[in-house]
Amino acid sequence: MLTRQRRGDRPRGGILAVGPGAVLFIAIFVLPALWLLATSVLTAERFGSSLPLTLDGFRDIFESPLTWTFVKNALYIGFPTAAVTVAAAIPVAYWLRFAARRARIPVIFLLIATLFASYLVRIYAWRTLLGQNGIINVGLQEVGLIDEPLGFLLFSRFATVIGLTHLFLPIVVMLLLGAFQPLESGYLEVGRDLGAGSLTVWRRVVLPILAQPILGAFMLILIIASSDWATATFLGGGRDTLIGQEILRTFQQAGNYPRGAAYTILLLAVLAASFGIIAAGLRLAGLNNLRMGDAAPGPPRQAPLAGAWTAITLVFLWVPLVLVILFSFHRTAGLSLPFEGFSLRWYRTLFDDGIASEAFFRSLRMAALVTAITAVVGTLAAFGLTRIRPLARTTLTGAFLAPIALPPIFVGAALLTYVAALGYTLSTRTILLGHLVMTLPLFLLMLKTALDRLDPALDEVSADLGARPFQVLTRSTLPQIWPTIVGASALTFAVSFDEFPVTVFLSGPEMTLPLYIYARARKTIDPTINAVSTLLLGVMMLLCVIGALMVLAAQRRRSDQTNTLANPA
Amino acid sequence: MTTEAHLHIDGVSHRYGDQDALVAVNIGVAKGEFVTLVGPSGCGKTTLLRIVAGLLSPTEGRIVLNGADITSVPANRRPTNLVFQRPTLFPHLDVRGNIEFGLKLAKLAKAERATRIQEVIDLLHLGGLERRRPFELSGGQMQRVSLARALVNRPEVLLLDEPLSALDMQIRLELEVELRRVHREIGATFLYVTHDQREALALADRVVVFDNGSVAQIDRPEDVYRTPASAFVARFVGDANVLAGEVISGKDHGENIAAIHGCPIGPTRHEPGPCSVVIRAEAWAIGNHGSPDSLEGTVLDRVFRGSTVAYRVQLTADGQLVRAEAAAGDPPRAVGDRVGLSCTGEFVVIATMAETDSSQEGTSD
Repeated sequence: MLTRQRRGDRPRGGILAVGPGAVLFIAIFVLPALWLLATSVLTAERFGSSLPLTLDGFRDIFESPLTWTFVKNALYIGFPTAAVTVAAAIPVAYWLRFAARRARIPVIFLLIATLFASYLVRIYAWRTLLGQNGIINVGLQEVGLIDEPLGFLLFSRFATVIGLTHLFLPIVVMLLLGAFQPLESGYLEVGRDLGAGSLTVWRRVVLPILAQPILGAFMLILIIASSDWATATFLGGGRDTLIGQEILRTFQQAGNYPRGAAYTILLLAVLAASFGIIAAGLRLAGLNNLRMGDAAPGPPRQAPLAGAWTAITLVFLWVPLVLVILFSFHRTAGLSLPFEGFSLRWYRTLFDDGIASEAFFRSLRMAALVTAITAVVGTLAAFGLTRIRPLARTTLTGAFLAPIALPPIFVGAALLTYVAALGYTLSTRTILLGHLVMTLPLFLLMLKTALDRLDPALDEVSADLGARPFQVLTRSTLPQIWPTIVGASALTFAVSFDEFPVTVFLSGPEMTLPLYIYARARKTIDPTINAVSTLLLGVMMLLCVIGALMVLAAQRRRSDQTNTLANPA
Repeated sequence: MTTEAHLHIDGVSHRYGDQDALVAVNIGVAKGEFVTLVGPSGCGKTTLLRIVAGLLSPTEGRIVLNGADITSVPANRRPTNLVFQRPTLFPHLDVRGNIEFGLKLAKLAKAERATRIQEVIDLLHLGGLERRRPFELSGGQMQRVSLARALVNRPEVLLLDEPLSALDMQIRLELEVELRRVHREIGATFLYVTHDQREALALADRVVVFDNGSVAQIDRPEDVYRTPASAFVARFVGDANVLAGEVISGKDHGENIAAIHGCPIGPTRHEPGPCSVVIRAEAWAIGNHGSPDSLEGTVLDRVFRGSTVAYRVQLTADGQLVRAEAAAGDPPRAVGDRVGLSCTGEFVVIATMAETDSSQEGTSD
């Protein structure tokens, strides 16, 4: 670990490095969060709030019988989504960990690449897949399995859960893969040697050991899925109102900030209670904070079932995207089968549409700015965190990472009330702040992980060889982690470019690309949206490839240098 | 073999892709025997152990236990248990839970489980540690729990894969004593893999020396040490020198003499001709340069080892390196001294094999 424990050992500059990030974060997250809590007990003004303190906000929501319906509907989406996503991800993570061998990197790439398709468009893709004339219904009818289209596929809870699972599955797979990493196959072999069959090994060895990270992933999806409203809007049919939708409506249409704040806090409380129950359950079963000991590694395992499931998962993730791309070239305006020929007309429409290109470039500029700020502030903060007192480190790290565990609605609502209280109007600047809150934690998490894995001895060697503290930073630490910085920056760009839930709260008259897609998708259903998202996907993939090539080139350059040093010609 | 083997490894071969890990291995183990499999890293001994355990299917051959072919029986149903190289204790269970794991799967009654667990806790001196979690144990304690977890199931054959190699020397020696004691007390058949030849000789009733996937020798430890079957075995076990020499015909129907560069070493029944002579480091006497019947050489290196001193001497005649050991009380020789080596202990003559190279350093430990 790069972090120093003793005062004397600690290089200076910690506070200086972490300062900008800390100040920024307090300004755009901590204070707004506190303000949101305060708003809930203020009196409602039209799109604002004022003194005196009152409990009207809370009283309103608790007296309304609809409140619990909203919460219930959200949990009815959240729990099944979390369960399905985690259950589907486990075999994939298992296969990647133990059986994948050379296929591991390509499969991971294919998984993560689906995240580059726009959030909204992926939801939208399911609409074409699941509709009455969508691929699935048409296909099943052709094959003769059903006589009439299945109605429940679309505009139902089923559709919402499928759409959300599709969104979160790659993330959960990566989280679980991280959890599986320290589980050596020796444990599985010991289990078998002691008499356990395959299922028993899962029941008595794998799942208990991984219970905490699995439930952690479950909780994360529960939080995001329960507060998500865009998916339900597109796929859910509008019969059941979810609490997320109600919160948005309360803020944006009713303009009742205290009530909106009260709803948000209620949502948080329900999620916190779920978390508490799960955590208590883990502790009771003695399955929390397990320390993996000395375990024998083993050879790669055979896992044909898990491998087949992984293939199915990849198909599940890619088919909607492929359809989106395919239909962006559709000659007619229909989005269901049969496919009637190729044409570039929708792309032309897009470029003719001034608003669309304006939104595109605005998103591009925004993402670039967000990435620049996040990269600088985030890198400094990550370094700073390794150089400050343990107590300060834990507190600041917690504050920085908190937005990951909170529903985006919370972040959006908090900034909205805060900005309104300060008297600012909504504009691209407020959107920028919202994006920063969402990107900084991810960036910091990735960097922190990389820094933690560094060998502190390397810095000490540099110092021993004569490097001054700042030089140690630039010549020893930075060269080792710059691939991580590049990767995290690419991810930041993608997150900002595609950001929707928080942006919705904070946008003024100017639209970003996701807002444009959302607005347009609600009015007309035509392949223009497919064209937008295909372009988006293309841009993301390109960024990814460029980033990967840069990293590979640098690694090759560095190993070439090492080779010439070792073998002078 | 007078008694039917308890465990018979019958013609087992295993290939990984185009690599031969094991070639036609035949080993018979009697009931209650302690057999060690020893050889350098990568020679296939762990592969063989995993095949006996059922974690790997051999490309060819059979595993026969008590006369029954168990080759296709899956690992979880074989009456064998494997103690792994690392303790691999389940982190979500305490010591008792770990030990009980196999018993619960065998669906034994609660009372029976309790009895067996107590037996094995007493046997391995684990009293008082039942409620501890693995991370609260020392390295030695963890391996003892790992051993207990396997033994409690009363396997027909206990398989051990270098269980002591990750431990400190002191703990390792203690646990070796424990292992021999446990073996005596329960009388089970033990199959023990190690790359440490000292350990292999110390623990075993019989030693199987592996060379690149094949069995080089199976014998009692004393026999492997004193009469190695090949140069490989000679080099691997103990601190030996394998020197190029020749066998000279005995005069007047006397015995043939083994010699190195004309310097007689001793009588042998081997046929005249070129040969390799195996002489242990401790069988040399280091005398003065020019003594009769001694090999001339120069001291290259000297290492103090407590009760002995180890010398490396380069022979003047052909540059072969000889490792010789002298008692600490003997007259010391300095680096660069010219000395005369004579063989005062045992030696073995073996046929020269293709792989005997002239610049040998006898492999030790």
